Amino acid sequence: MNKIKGCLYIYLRKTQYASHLFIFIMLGLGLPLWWKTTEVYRQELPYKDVESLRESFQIVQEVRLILKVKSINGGELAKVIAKECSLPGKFSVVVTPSNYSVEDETLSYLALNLEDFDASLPELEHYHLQIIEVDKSEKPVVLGRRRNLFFEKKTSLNLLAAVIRSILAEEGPTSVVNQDFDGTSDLWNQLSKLRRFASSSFLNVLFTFSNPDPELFDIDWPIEAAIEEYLQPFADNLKDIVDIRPSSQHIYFAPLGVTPRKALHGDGYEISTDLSLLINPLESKLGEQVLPGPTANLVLLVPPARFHPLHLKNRENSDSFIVHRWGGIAFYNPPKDSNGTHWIDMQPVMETFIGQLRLLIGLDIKLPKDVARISLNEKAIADWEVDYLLRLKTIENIAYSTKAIKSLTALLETITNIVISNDVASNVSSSLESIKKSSRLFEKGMLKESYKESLAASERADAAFFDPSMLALLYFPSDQKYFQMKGRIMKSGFCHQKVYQLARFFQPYIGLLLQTILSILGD
Amino acid sequence: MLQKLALAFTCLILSAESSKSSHTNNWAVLVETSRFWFDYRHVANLLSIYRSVKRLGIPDSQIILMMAEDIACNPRNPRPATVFNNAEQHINVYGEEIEVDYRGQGVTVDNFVRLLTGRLPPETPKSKQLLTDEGSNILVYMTGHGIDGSFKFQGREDLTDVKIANAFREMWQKRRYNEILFIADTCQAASLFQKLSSPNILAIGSSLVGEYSHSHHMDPAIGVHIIDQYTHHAFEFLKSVTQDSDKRMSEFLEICPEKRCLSTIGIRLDLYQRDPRDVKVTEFFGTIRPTEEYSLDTALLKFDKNTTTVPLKSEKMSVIKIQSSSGKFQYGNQISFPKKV
Repeated sequence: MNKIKGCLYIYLRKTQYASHLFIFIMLGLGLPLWWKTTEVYRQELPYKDVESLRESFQIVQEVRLILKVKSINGGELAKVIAKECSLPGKFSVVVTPSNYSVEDETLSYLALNLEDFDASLPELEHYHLQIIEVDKSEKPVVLGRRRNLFFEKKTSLNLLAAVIRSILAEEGPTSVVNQDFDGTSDLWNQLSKLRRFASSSFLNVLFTFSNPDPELFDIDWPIEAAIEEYLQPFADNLKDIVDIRPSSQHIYFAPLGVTPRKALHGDGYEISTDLSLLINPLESKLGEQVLPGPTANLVLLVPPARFHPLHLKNRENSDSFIVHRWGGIAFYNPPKDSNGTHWIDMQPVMETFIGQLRLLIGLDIKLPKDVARISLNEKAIADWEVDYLLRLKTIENIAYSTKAIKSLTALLETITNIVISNDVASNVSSSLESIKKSSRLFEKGMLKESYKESLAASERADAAFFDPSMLALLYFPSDQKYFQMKGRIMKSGFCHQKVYQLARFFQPYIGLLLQTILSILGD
Repeated sequence: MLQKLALAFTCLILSAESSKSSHTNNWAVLVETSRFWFDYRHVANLLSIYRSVKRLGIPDSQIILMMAEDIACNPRNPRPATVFNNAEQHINVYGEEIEVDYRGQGVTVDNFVRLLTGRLPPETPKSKQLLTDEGSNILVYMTGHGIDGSFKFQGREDLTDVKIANAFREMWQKRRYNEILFIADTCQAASLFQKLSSPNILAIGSSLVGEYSHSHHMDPAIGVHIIDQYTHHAFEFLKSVTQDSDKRMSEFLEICPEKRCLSTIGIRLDLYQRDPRDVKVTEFFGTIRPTEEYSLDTALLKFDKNTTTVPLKSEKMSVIKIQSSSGKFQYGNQISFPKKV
C-alpha cells in the first residue's frame, strides 16, 4: 500500500502526467464515444425469424367438399375422391357424403334445367364445394355458377378427380410457385410468362376508343352506361380480391402500325403480320402512365376507312387479341351506312372485354374435355372461380413476400453501411407477421382473411425493400469516400473506414483551430 | 470441296438455332452525363442508340433517357433543334418525337441509383420509373467521361464501380431483370464493370483500363467532335438490324477492332450464362410483346342485360335513344338527319 502511494507520489510529482492524462481520456473515453456516435443507424431486424421462413412453399391446405348422391354409394365415392384429390404437402381434401335431403329433392324436381337447380340451391361458404349427382346432364361434368359441380352416375372417377383438382388450383399456375426459389430456376421466367397481372390490391382498367377517321365515321360508344351495366357487377364480385377502377377515353388519329393485306377468303382486309406491331403506335397515345399502379388497357380499335372491314387472320375467333400483362385490343368495323351518330352496341363489345379481363386477372383454368359450364350472367364470374383466384393469389403473395424479405435481409447483412430506419424495420416485422398469419389462415381454409393478410404482407415487404431512405448514405459509402481521397489502398477495410471517420470528426475543429491561429498571427 | 460444303452446311444448321430467350419485355436505360457544348459527341452517342432502339421497337414508355446537356437547344448550336451524329448530317437523331425522362440537373448519381434499385419517392411519375419485372431484358448504355473505377456525372459527382455493382446486385435480389446488356462508351470503360458479381450480365466497354476511348470525327462546321468511335460503329451495325433480323450478339461484340477504333473493347462474359453466338441482337435492342388471339367463349359469357334502345325510323329522320337500366346515363337524345350522299 505504501509502495503504491510512493509510486503514485513520484508519478504525480515527477512526470508530465498531463500528456498521459490526455492520451488516457482520448483513448479511454473519446475513442469509444466516437466509435458509437459514428455508427450507421441500423435498427435490429428479425434475421433469425426470416431465415426460418420456408423458401419452398409447404403450406398444407385443408379443403372440404360436400358430396350429395342419389343412387350411388356416397361413402365409397367420398373416400375415393378424398384419396385422389389430396396432394401430400399441399392439399388435404375432406369429403362429407350425404344423400339428397327432402329440400334437395324438391328443388331438383321443380328446376327446369341445371341452371335453375344451380341457382336455387342454398348459398355455401367460401372453401366449400358441393359435388352433386344428377340424373342427366349435357356433359359428364357440369360446373355451376355458384359453388356447385354436377356429375352423372356414369361419370368416370378420373374425370371427376381431374376437374376437382383444376378447380382447387392444384395444377396449373399454383404448381409453379410450389417450388424452390433460388432465382436461377425457370420459375421466375414462368411467372412472368403468364398472362395475368401481378397480384395487387387494385387494378386500373382503361377503356379506350380509337377512331382514326372521325370525319368519315361518326361513331360513339355509351361507355359510362356499359361500365355501369356490365363491368360493375363483375367488379362487385371481385371486390374482395382486387379493386377495379375503370376510366375511359377517346383517342383520334392513332395510326395503325401495320399495313393489312387483302383477305384471302371473303372480302375486306386482314392482318397477317405479327400482332405486337400494332401496339407501339397506339401505346404512345394512350397515356396510361397517368394512372398510378397497374393498368389494364382495353382498346376498341376502329380500322382506318381505307381498310374497311378489317379482321384478324383467323376469322373464326372474335376480332380481338390479348397482350400479356398489358390488356387487350378488339376491332370494330362500323356499318358503312348509318344515319347520324352510330352508337355502338356495347353488349358484344363488353362480352369480349370482360372475357379478356377475366384472363388478365388470372382466370385461365384449364379444364379437361367433357366438362361443360353453365353460362355466366352479368356477374361474369362463378363463385368457385372467386375461391380459385383467392387461393392462387394468396399463394403468389406469400411466395413473393417471403422472397422479398429474405432478399432484403440478406442484402442488409452483406452491405453493412446501408441505413435501416424504423420504418423499414417495422415493415419487415409486420410483413413477417402477416406471412405467418396468412399461412395459418390458409391452412384452415379461411380464404378471404388469408388473402387480405397475404396482400398486406406483400405490400409491406415492397415498402420495406423499396424504402427511399435506404440510400441515405449514398454519398458516403466507403468506396466513394476513399475514391475522393485518391488513395487506392484505402478502398476497403473496416479500420480504414473508422480512420476516415475520425479524420472527418476532427475536420471542423482543425479548421477552427487554424482560423484562430491565423487570426492571432494576423493581428 | 465436299468437306468444305459439309462444313458450311453444318455451320448453317448450327447458326440457324438460337438458344431460347426467356425474356418477356425489353427496357432501355440510356444515360449521358457530360455537360457543356464541347461534349456534343456524348449526346450524339446517346441519341444514336436511342433512335436505333426505338426503330427496333422499344416504346418510349420502356426507355429511360437521361440527358444532362441539352445540345439541341444550346445557344451555340448553329442548327437549332437538331443533333447530328455525322458531319454530313445524314440523320437528325434528335428527331420529331423524343421523350427525355431526366434532363439537365436531374441527371445525378442519386437519381440513377434510385432508378435502378426502384427506390424513387412514391410520387415519381411512372414514366420516370424503371418498372421492370423478372422477365425484362434491360439495355444499360452509359456515355460520358470516365476514369479508372468511376464514371463522372455532370463533372462533379462520381459513380463508382462498386456502386454500379451494388445497384445491379440489388436488382438481381429483387429480380428486376432477366438479363442486362451493359455498354459503357467512356475512357477506361472496362473498369466500370470490374466489380460486377450478379448473374446474367453481358458487359461491353469501349476501352480497357488505362486506355482512352477516342472520338470518330469532327464536324469542322460546328467545331466539335460529333460522335465517338465505339458508338459510331455500333450505330452502323444497328442500321443493318431489323426487327426480325437474325444477327447475333457475337457479331455485335466484334464491331470495333483495335486497328479501327484505337482502343481495345473490353468484354465481360463470365457472368453471362448463354453463348453470345446464340443470342440475337434484337433480344436486347428490340422488343417482344407476347400476344395471343382471343376467342370469345360465347357459351360461357352471355350477358342478358340490354340497354334500352328506342329506334324510330321514318324517311326523313331517325331518333335513337340509349339509356342504361338505372337511367343514370342517357345517350343519343338528339334527332339526326340522314347524310346527304
